[in-house]
Amino acid sequence: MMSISWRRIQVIIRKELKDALRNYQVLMMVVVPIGMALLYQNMQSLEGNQLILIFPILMSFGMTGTIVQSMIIAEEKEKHTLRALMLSPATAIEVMIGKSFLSFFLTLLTIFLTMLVTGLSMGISLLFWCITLLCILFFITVGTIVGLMSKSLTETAYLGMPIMFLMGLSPIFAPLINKAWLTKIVSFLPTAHYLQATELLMKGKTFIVGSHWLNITIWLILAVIICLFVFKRNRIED
Amino acid sequence: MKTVINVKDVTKTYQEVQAIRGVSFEVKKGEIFGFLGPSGSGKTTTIKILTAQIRPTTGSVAVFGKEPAPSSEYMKRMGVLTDHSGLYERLSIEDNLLLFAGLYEVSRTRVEQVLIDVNLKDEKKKAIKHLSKGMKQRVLIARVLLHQPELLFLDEPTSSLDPSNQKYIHQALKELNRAGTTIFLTTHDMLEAEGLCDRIAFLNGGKIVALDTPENLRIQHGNQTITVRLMNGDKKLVACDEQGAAQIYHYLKQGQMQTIHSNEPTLGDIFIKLTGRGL
Repeated sequence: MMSISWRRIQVIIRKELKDALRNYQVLMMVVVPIGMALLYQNMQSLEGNQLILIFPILMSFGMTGTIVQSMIIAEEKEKHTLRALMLSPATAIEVMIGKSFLSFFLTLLTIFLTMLVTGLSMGISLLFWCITLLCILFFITVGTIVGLMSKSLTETAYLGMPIMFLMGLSPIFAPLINKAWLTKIVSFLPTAHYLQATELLMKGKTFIVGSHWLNITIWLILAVIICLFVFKRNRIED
Repeated sequence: MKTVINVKDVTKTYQEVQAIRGVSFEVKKGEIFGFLGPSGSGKTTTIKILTAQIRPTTGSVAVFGKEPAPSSEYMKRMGVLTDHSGLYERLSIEDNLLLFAGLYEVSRTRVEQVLIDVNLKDEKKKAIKHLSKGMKQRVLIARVLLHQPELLFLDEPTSSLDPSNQKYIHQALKELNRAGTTIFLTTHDMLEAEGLCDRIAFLNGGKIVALDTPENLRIQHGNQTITVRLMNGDKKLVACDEQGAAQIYHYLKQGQMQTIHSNEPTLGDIFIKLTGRGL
């Protein structure tokens, strides 16, 4: 049975954090959702709709979850450092856990900061944080798929941006386009369910968010299966 | 002597291209084994098979007595430096080495030691992106030396280094070899191969066309002649036989001889002779 070394994972995490602090592209992905939070905070004062404050969180899912994760994996492939890691005692799973930790930590930090900026009062809700963590895991898995499929950093933009808009930001834009077919498609997406669940939690209805949990969990399982398939295919192609 | 690498009738086919065509060889413990061949001859494919990155299409491969597998235990025993090895450009030399020191569980003192070995101690705080190609190559070499592997695969290790830095690296490799590390080396540099390798295999079109010690290869493929330079500036080519010996004796007796050199072929000459192409 394959064993996992937490010590090696810690070494990779330490390197990822050092590298991220020097990577302006990664830092930008943290700054943009916080900037949007400032903008939405003012809009919320005008419209009085607290749900609008969730939008910077959706942006964080897409930007720091998916895009950052895909960027750090694609860069490792492009610069041939992923091969160097794979030829070290670190196993594939240790490398992936170590790398995903950075995106996970940054997404969580960004969400926390956007909530601090907007003053969103969900901080104390355990259910809110649980469903948020589930969404972060989903978006990081999607980022891993994009990173593994991309051969370079530039390719992550081609592949990652449409996915980020579709998966992360479509619940924001779909109502503006107001087309029935688009609304129908968006209603199946995990972010749409995240928004609905958050709305219910805001109203104090904690017992009827089950279907939303189920939807996000199914998306996460699907993403993990695709991720494993892409990872195996990548190895065979090598 | 114990066999570290045992390759038998290995072939590797990528779609319709046959990269390796029935290669067999053994590498003994403590040997520096040179694998020489032009681009596309199958050197990198062989290293990929031996380092468990790909599987052979047919044939058998055993490293340390077992089929290579991408496990932590196997990776701890060997080190790899290929022409595609990468470094973290935003991090310093020291941070790059500390990452791998952590993965291989070696001490910070060892990091300092390899920095001295590759002549980079004073530059350790520099970010990789500010280094020259040669310095980056030295960092890569430092990285594979870190854990003092039992078996080291080096693919063109000194290709972008100047002679003085090459000397540092050759010294470090010799010391590592003296300490017991078996080295599998591919290179285009015939002098490097001659200076470092105990045995050499010439690879061409996915096949081994010659395998022996550099000395034996020269003897086998030499033209058995001696060049004599006379006092008057003339050069004479003398055969290594009874008649040639008499001729040399005559030049000596007459006091005409200025210099005498045996005409051993270089490894490059032998390679061209065997394959009809240069490296």
